[in-house]
Amino acid sequence: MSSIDAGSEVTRAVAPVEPARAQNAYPLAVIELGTSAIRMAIGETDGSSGVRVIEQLVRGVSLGKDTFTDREIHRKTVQQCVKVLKSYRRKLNEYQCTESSHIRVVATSAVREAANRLEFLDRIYIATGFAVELIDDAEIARVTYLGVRPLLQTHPELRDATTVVAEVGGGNTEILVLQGKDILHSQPYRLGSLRLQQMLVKYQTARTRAGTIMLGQIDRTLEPLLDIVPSGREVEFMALGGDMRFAAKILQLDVLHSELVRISVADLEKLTRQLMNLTVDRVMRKYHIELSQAETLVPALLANVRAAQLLGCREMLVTGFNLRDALLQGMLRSSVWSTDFCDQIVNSSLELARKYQVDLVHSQHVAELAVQLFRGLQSEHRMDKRCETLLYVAALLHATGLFVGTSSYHKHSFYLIMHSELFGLNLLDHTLVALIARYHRRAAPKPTHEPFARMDRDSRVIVSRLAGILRVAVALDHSSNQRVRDIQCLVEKGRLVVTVTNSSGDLSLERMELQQQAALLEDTFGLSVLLREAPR
Amino acid sequence: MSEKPAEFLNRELSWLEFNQRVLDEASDPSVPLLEQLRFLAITASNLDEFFMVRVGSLLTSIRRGETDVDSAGMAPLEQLTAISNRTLKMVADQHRIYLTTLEPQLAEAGIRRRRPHELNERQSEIVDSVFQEQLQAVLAPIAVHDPARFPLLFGKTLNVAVQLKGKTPTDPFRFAVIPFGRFDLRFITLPSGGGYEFIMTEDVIAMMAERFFPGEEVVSTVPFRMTRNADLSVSDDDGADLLAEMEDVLDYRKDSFCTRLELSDQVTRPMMDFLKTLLRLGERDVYLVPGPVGLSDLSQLADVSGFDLHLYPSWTACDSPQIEMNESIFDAIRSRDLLLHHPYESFDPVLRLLSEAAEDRDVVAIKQTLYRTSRNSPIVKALIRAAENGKSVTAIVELKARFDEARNIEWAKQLEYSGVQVIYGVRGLKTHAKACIIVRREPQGFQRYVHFGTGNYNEITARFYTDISYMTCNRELSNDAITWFNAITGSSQIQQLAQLESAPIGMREKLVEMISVETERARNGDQGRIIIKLNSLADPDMITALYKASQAGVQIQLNVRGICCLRPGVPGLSENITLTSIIDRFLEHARILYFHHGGDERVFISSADWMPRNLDRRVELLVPILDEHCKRRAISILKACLRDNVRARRIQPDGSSLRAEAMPSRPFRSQLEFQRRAREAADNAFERNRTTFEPVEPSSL
Repeated sequence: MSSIDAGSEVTRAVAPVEPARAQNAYPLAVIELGTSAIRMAIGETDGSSGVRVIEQLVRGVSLGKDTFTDREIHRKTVQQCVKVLKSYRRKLNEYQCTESSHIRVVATSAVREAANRLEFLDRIYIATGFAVELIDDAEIARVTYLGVRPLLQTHPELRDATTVVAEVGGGNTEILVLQGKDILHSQPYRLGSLRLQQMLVKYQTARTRAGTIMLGQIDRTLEPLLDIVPSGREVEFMALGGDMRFAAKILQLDVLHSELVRISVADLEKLTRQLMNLTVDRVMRKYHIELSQAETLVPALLANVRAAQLLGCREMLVTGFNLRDALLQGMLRSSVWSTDFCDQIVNSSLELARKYQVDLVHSQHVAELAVQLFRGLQSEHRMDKRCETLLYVAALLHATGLFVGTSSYHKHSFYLIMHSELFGLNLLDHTLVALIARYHRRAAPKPTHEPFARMDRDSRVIVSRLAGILRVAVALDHSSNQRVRDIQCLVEKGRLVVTVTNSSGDLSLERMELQQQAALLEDTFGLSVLLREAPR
Repeated sequence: MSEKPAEFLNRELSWLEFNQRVLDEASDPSVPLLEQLRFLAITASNLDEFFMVRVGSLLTSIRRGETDVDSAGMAPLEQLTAISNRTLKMVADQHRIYLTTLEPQLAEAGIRRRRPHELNERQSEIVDSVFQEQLQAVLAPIAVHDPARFPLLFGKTLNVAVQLKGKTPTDPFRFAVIPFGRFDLRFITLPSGGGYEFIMTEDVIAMMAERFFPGEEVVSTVPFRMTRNADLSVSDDDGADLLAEMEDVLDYRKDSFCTRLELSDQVTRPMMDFLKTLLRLGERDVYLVPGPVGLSDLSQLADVSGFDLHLYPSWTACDSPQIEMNESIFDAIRSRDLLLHHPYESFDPVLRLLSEAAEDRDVVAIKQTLYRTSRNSPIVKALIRAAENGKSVTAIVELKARFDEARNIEWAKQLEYSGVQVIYGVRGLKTHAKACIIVRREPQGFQRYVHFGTGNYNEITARFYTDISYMTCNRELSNDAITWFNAITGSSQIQQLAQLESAPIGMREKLVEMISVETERARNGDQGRIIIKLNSLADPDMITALYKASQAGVQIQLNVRGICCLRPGVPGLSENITLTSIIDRFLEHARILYFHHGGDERVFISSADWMPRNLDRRVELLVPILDEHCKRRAISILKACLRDNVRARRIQPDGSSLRAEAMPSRPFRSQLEFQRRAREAADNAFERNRTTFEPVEPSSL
């Protein structure tokens, strides 16, 4: 994520909330191990009305520098991290924030990509008691979307616009393409300010040529983006991150006191060129910033300027949003897996399904049937909205493998889903979707199937049960002509009775298919499946 | 940095002019007699510090061969010569005032100095007894055989040099020194029929010196006093133990080189040559005085009891009407921002904030800066109590606060022992900002209460320094305060602040920006107005910005107590700048800044003077007064200071000063006005409360 935290967004960056309610307010904290710094946001909430950020801290560490140059985190850096995290622990104790469920510690690409990440995580846990969670790009995209969503709703000019949201981090650039508030595309690009800076160091690039070389790299990396953004349409470019807030401040624009400010791309380019002509030492002295911040400032700004130029934007929007605030909000369970958010996951899945030329009428119908079955079996599985969404997405994508070929296409589906971007799903959820799709036909999950066996028990149960439901849903539309539309599900006497309430004609085909496909559901739920027609 | 020598006054000479203004008070017949004496002692004490630090620094530069000119275009040697010339005149004035004006008037008032030949029998007996029991018992003369191996003489202490006749007529004179060291009996009280009579210790020594040297003949005795260089600082190398280094500096300061020798003009030539050799001094470093050396000791006489008639009427700070006596300070701050004007209003609310925080079970953390504090500081005690009560207490104790280092080291150790997390300042910078943050758990969530000040957390100096306290729980200000505190304690990197500005990060830029805004407005034909109240203004860039503003038509009113390198009222340069300086009973110490800002007036208080050291090498705070009521009050304080035509001097383009008005038809003395306002407000509050009776129920006992 961002390499400069220019914003003490304490009062405003989080979507505005009323002060926490009396009596029940309790502290929460998010610690983020980023590429160039460890940041902590402490907030408080009454558990229902949002989180008010009360303190933010940032301490520089060189995690990204280690990982992106030597592929592993150096011992000295580990010690630095321990020291910082211990001091953060003291700060949390000050606020009596000690419950582990109220503290989320996450690490991004610099730790995720380090060869010695497991040793690192263990060392941190032993020394500080913090269990660091590696968050993937999908989760970053998810929280980013949740963070910018209120802006999309409150700014009329964005309500129907195509908006490209970009955050140039130290390791990667996270890009979301939105149409109004709907996700069109979400993908991390391997373009980071620290990576760019390290590239210059590695090749000992002269300062005079640094700009050209970085621009080349930025252009090459962002090229695929141009195929995704609808051509011929005006695009809004929203740049996130501390570097951009810092640049806005230099340009005399106060991001602190407004949710969004507009910056002229030409002005930003001019500023970037000016900064490029200064040594890092000079930048540090002139703007009173840390070395780690000064080193990556120019690459980050250049990437933003270039991205805006490639998209034909004359202005860009800068916001006070940051990852930690969004993660803090995310710690309130109610704000995750909201209907709106699930809709965005589905939108992204539909985009993917289109890409692989899936029969959308069929797969959407299967998905609807699967959800009806899921809800009918609620008393049996007691799964939540998250699992319902995973099932729906798996149903939409179950036939993507046909894009490769008909033979063992369920395995192709698994492969394609695993290697595609799906907005809003973290690695675990993404894998669950791929496995549910993979087991929609043929062999049931087995311990010899490596991806399945690698999952923990809870996840394996989810896969088996949801795949069992998906198989029944697929069987119900075996004709692919959506004859079975409305069903009622009833669990009675060890049976799942599926009653078709719309006039669908003869159901023999579906019954035959069910005989083959219902076994997994029968095994995992302990219920046989009976298909009935509603009395006419 | 743009340096235009002709446009700036030399900082040292400007400071000497400030000291002259203080000296003027010592000869002002409208000032009570003992207060005149106190002002005289202050000028002497000021000169001591000036020679220790500023002259010490210049001498160090010269020894290093540095020849860089300052913003006034003067090289170190040139400055030293000018200082010497100016000081010689000032010292002569000091002694003239003492000997020809104050001593006779004091005698008239009943405070009489007796010379040895004036003692009556009873007084002689007492002197003899004091000599035997105290002086002879404590003081030890040291014969000087080899000046190079002579033991250490402390700076700023009295010594008496003794010239002894040789054993035979052909032997050369011999010399000895009687150092007083830490023995500080300067005025020996004599029995008298009325009033207060005393003899000075050096007179007794002179009278009885031969008793120290039995069998020898004393040719002459002469008191002397020296100041040593104190411009020493710790190195800022990483990894050094700051506490240990600071202790080393204090040791080193004891025997650093001499910067000045004060010597009675009764000295013989051989004695003077001896002392110059002993102390390795040149002719220019010697100040021959016709009266007592070390006039700063006269402050002891000013405190002699029984002469209240010759002092300012006593002043007890009033309770602020904004705070009810039985109201929790937290409730008071939560209901409204508080602005206190010390010493007219009591410093107690600040002490109460700390004291209540130490005991309040909902307070979870206290964060405090300490630059200078009193000997038995209730603030330090409250911090210790808070830590003992399990609160998280962090204190930044500035070990490098000049001349308070030893006390601060002591406090730092005590605080640490009690469980306070002590930070010894910031490496490479002095933490001069005054802020205290209390984090309190309340039903609505964590609430932060902040005190910002222009003065130190010292309840003693708060009785005679004019300062501002601003207490608030404004969310932006308190968030900024926490963020700033985290940065200077190393808990976090510095982050952007919403309202506060801090040196050395963004304060300079912010101030220049505020001046530029006024400049732009004036250029566009709009009103531009700046009022600045500071202790010192010496930063060339800030002065240049003010010059530009003046040239654009901004009306600038400066009220600067001490150093000011800006030349006011120079046509084409600064004709729109007026500069006044107030020297009165209380030390003007508040820093308040006002910018008209197109009618959306901006008012700030600050811990920082406008000097390069404050803006570049110290951790300082610039705090906006956001509350409208507090803002209006701060503006009214500024305006009253500008109206002063009794104790204010108007500074001239050459740095000299004139009374604001020679004979004001409507005299207005700002410090009296502030006393009147504070008393009136307190009386009104008292009257209001007296009309309401609140019964004390048994259950509330």
